[in-house]
Amino acid sequence: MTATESLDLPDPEAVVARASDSTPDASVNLVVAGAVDAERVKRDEDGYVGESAGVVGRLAAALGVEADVAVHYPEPEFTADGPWLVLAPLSGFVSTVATGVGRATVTLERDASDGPPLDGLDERIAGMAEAVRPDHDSYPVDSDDRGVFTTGMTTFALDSLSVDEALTATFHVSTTPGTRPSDVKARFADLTGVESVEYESVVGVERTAPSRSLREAVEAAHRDVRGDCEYEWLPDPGVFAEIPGAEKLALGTGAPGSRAFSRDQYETCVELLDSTLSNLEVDA
Amino acid sequence: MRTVANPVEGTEVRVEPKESPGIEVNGVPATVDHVGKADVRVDLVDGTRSFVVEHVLGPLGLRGVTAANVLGVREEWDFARPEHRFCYAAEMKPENVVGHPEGLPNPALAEALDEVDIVTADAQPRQTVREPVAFAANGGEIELRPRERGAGIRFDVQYRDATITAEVDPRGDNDPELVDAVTSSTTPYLSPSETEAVTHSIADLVSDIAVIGGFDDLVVDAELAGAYHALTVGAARKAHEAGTVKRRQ
Repeated sequence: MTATESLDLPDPEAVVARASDSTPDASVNLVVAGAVDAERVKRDEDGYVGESAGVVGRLAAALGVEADVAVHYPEPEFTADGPWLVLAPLSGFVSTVATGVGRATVTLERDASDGPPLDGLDERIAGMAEAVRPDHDSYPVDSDDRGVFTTGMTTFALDSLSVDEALTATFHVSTTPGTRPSDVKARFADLTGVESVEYESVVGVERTAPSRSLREAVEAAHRDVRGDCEYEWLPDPGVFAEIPGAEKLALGTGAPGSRAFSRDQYETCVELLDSTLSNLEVDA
Repeated sequence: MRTVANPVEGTEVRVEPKESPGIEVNGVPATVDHVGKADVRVDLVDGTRSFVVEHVLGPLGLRGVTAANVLGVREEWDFARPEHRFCYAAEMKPENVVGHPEGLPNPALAEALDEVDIVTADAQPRQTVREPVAFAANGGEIELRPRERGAGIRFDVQYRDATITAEVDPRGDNDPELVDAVTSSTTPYLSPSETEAVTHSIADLVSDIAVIGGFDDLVVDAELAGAYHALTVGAARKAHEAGTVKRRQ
């Protein structure tokens, strides 16, 4: 037996094939957040590596549970009965909240003396980048790679830029329950030559209130497996926000953006699911 | 026991008098049995959960308060704080988070406790350990050693390249300059320097060893690293579980 075989981790292609063949008909629904691309995932001695290693690893965990559950892949059947468990890169935490998405469109006038269209562009873009840079009086948000603080802040990412009669930039805005359109617009108010700032909400913040039995089943599983149950927000709405109704919770191992998903993370994810499903009295 | 004569307020909390020994935070006793999390912060859990309690228990211990009801008073959300996101997701309220928003051991509370009358009632036994208790966790090491009755706790602490020695009596008067320095120093995760971080750690040690652990007379040698509340609370818990706690009238 090779080291890879001893891991008991299924081959990424086999994970996808088995998920595609699964019948989404059981009392509890499982779905994995994020896009699966099995071709970009390799299995090695430590687990899965590659662009969608975590998504494949969590999908493998969903298929690895003992109980009879409905694994929804590739598209969820949102009309299915029963509670939903969404597997996401939550580092072993639980979530009932997903941040929202907005779009800000900022138009700057072009000074007639600007000359050719690209003259002065760098300065204008630098000004916008400064305007949207995360800022906090007490927390080091500039270096907050893990989202310890910024997950709960209104943050901006440049989505597109066009230059013609004016300079127009659109920003993807990650929103919280505290995000106000007036505050978003105010971020750009001091820029030179602002003609307009438009803001629209694309997906609202999703905060669900699952039944006590579902919440307690998930919390007890985390206390049993990890010693504590902690909550964090999902950094984007994704499939969690798409699931109708309130009877849903997100959980899962693996870190956001990570290109590796270890065997330990796979095993912990399976344990969390097995324990949760046992608490929900789902039969094997 | 020593309690406040009248309620006082600090940042995020209100401290009320209590007629029996011990400190409770939002109704949960501050004891090792009620610690639900101890790593980057300390949470007390028993039905309800109170977050970052070390920022309240530290100044209470430094001011010699041994009996009090602490209530969270925060009403507005601050979602940049992970603990507030936790509460919002778990259907708790901002008042569950009693830690200081800037990572300080509540200087406003320390000042209020300095100004309020402290009422002293029935003398309680003082506690030490029968024999040294050594513990290691998260890359750090700590040893609790016995000390004579009434001597208080001497903390000899190293955090990275910075060191500090502090004499603290969890039931008596403490050096005002020490209290000011400690309560105005930010938590290591936010500290601008190792010196400030190690100064802050005295509040954490008072919280975890003196208040939660219930010790009055010790020598504490600690080499702190990373999420060190696992070390400090862990040492106090080990002393209790090993039966090495010595009570003296």
